[in-house]
Amino acid sequence: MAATVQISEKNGAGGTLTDKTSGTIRFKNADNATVDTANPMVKPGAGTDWSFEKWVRFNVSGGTYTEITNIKAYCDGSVSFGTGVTVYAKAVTTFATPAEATSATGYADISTYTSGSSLSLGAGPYTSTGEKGDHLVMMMGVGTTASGGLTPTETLTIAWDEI
Amino acid sequence: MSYAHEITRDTSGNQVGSDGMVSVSLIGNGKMFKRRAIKGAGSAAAQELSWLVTELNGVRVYQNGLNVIVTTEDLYP
Repeated sequence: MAATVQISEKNGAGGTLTDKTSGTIRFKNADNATVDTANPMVKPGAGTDWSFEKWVRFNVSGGTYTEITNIKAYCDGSVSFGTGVTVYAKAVTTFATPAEATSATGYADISTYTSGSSLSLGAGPYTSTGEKGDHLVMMMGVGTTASGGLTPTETLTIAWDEI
Repeated sequence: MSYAHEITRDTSGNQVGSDGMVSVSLIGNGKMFKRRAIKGAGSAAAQELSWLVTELNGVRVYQNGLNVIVTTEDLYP
């Protein structure tokens, strides 16, 4: 048997979970998990338009396993949201209500996290069901050189070891 | 999205990992685990992967389908 794992987005003060394992995580200027064009990111005349934070967590929803360790997040190293668009990421232990970011301080460009240099979301060991490890907190910055329209999707990988 | 290897023990106590088609047996004091991943998480293209990792004396065997890698490196899907 194996653990059934979901990648969940957390929204609101209570951190309501939405399964986003195979659902789009849409960066926007609002705290919700809805994939729509409301509250869009806006190309600024100057400076950067920061999105609300996306709080994402590794969530064991069922299945059977003995132990999970070594939860990691990384990209393929060729993130291409387009000119002037950058997604930043960091690991945070304790949940806080998603807020609109004001700078990239404390974050790293998510494209710098690759399979050979990943972002650790917790060494574990973890057992049982429920949320495990640190939160993956991401946010998007849109600069003045960005183009309009929807950006391409990017490949985020969440990996873990399991026995 | 629940595909993963199964790791069991045979009658001699050796660990055996299988994806249903290929089996890997570990004889000796090594370790065996599944290195799982959701690639494309947060998108409609999400895909679950499972590698069987067998380590003995610092050498790892990564098995994924009919592909096998033998290395001392720490590899990720």
